[in-house]
Amino acid sequence: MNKLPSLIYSPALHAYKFGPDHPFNPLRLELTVDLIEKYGILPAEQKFEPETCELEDILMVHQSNFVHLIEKASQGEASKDLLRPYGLGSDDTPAFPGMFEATKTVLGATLLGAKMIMEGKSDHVFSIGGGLHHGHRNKASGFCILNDAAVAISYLQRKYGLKVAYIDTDAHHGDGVQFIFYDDPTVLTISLHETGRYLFPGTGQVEERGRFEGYGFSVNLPLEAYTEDDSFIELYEQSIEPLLEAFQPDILITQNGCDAHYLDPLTHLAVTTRTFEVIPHIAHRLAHKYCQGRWLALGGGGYDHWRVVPRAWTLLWAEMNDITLPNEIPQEWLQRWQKQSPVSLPLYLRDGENEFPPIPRREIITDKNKVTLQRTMGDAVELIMSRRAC
Amino acid sequence: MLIEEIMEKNVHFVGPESTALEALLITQEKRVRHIPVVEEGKVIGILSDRDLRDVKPSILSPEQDDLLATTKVKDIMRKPVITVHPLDAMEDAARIIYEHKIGCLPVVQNDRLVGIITSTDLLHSLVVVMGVAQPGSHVEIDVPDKPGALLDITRIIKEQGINIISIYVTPGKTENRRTIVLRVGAFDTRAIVDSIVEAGYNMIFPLPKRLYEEHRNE
Repeated sequence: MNKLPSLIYSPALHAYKFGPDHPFNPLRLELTVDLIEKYGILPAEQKFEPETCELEDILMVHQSNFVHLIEKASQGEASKDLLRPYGLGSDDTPAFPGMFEATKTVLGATLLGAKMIMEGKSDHVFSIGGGLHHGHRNKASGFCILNDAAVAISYLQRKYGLKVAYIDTDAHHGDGVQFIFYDDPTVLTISLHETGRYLFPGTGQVEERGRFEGYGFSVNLPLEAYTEDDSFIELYEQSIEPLLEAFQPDILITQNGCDAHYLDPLTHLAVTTRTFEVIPHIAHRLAHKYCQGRWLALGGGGYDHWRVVPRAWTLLWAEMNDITLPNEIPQEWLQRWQKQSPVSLPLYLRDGENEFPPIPRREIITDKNKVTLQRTMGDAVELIMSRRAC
Repeated sequence: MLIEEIMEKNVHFVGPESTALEALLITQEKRVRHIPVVEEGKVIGILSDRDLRDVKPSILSPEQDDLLATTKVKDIMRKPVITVHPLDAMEDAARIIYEHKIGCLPVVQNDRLVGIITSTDLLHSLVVVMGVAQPGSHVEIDVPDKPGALLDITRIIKEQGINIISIYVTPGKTENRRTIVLRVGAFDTRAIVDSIVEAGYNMIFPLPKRLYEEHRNE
């Protein structure tokens, strides 16, 4: 079997934009795909344009009154008072003209990725514009209008009856995906994130484990603020494999938000690109070990779009292709973008040692994360094994 | 929050002539640690599971087996009982429980037992008050202990069009300082943080991220 990984991207994804100064800036997609291309690892036959998403696929996850309101708001026909209860009245996630079509493109991109994998066209797909993990059934939140991961998971359940493992390493808790499938024992959601005690949205505590039939199938590893590579990687390595071993998924979906980086302006974790190499490397191995290689990777958060997002997601794409890239960032990329960038662009793909001043209280932060790992993993594996469908 | 909003209204109690065994069985079956002793609707005493255990014979002396069945509640109950009123505040009950080192308070209205509140109920209320009801971010500010500081902070947040989900003020780390702790309904808190720093207040969390930028440019 020699199927090439696929990357789903087109400038149509840039329409998902809340305004010129909004941190969720589609420029990061353009910068990333251009860096991948300048590295010479994106041949035309591996690049696919997103399709749109059918309304019926959306309505399997989201409530119809909410979807129709987005449709109206998209045409400028909804007042702020009407939008506010649905999470669309704030500066975080404001309504904008054309938002319904733009969101459907993101949903369609991720859904296309799921279809390509199941139809045997690709084993690994990267839906770079996806990862809208804060979208709830009937509420927009945290830059996410609807939830592409949930729409794809629901499609895989309906059409193929699959068991889905969803791993979310965005710095923010993957609350939308978790709560949409909170009762569902056929979807295992695992989220590593900065503790909700400090960071948006506030959920993702160890005690959130699912409910009813789904009890045991939501797993959370909230990390202390200022967590660094070693501790992040320790928790990821120690948790993911035993959980997947217990769950025996049919497909792996990863949300690869890269806002845990120390340069990210919106979070307080302090990892470097080392973490963004380890995350997909292990996901890749486990997709082959448990899921016959089926691996759908999504984008997600990442708000230092000049220095962090292009490098993190280039490393992800290289891992999908089993390629080790040279450390020097291609000159053509630097020349094209340096003039526009307000910060000096990185010269190397990987961060060096001692990038930032030592973190005070490192020891106690690491220890607290270890305790979190123990609390979360306590009986997690046994619970999944005793309750999972065969 | 008032006691009437958080108290348990379904109270398990015994009469003064009941036996210690009856009371012990109630603590075990109903999984409660405290039983008020009630006579004609009035609270005249209280028993904890520890008081009852003290009466229970040691497993090493089985000859005293009938002690539980023969001891009357009125002879071992603690009195007088400290009680609260349904219109007392949650924080009043918390202070009384803390100061008297006790585990629960019967709630009495018109001289009659109408409810009970335990330290666990108070902790649950704390979880509700400070817990996460809707998506938001944590913001913590060190301010001088003088009129207007809280107003300044909340005005800055209002000007950014951001909703406050919860707020509390604690004594600061040093004298004449206070700490304001907020949960705000925003994903991106940079504008708030910048305005608060500009207004001359000290951020405790989050700290502005400029440190890293300066380090890189060195």
